[in-house]
Amino acid sequence: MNDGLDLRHDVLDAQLVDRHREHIGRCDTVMLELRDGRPPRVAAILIGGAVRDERIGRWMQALRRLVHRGEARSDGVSRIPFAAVQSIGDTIQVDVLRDELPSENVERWLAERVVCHIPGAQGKQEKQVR
Amino acid sequence: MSREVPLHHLLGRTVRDPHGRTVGRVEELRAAIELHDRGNDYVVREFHVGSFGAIESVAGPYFARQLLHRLGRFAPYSSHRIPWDRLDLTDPRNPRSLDTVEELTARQRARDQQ
Repeated sequence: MNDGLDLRHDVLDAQLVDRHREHIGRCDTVMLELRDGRPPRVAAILIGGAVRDERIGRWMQALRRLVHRGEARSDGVSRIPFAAVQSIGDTIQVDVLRDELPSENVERWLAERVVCHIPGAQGKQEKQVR
Repeated sequence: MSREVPLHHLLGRTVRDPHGRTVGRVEELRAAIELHDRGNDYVVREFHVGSFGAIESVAGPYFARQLLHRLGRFAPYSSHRIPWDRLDLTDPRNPRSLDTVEELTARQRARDQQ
């Protein structure tokens, strides 16, 4: 990593990959820790859920409230400590596993309930087994 | 005491000086590594505030400035780099510069001449 980092240019909306270089989404925001008498610390990267909806607009927040009406589920936001960032370049590699991220819940649900029923969708897995 | 604020809540916010005059909008936050006993952290060192800062964040300050100078002298281009300790973020939605517009302009001019 370089010494200097432009948070908007280099980090915000950058593609994130996990430790196996699997895509895990884009950086929806960066959390800054404001400390008395000390410079603000770059604390974490947030992906997905309410944070993404907030950046898209109010209509998206309203849609989300409508879809999840009456449900007590997690907000689907993945919080990755900035200390887990391993490299920053065209993509940002972070030391996490994709399957452990709450922001991947929708992807997982779609893969298990929809995509796997499409003919040929499991071809990749079959090839790996052989 | 510390608290957290998302980056997108700061970007685009209008920065005002102690007299309430507009300095510009927060367009970029420059961070650097801070080493300490437990490892290292990225900390924000300066805030880039300007009227044409959005171009600056895409093209780089030198290119943006040259482009705007070429386009004409009518474009009121102004850009300021405010050190972290000169920007009051008590209310992150209303950031306040501790220096006046004149002081920031003079500092920027001195930096340009270097």
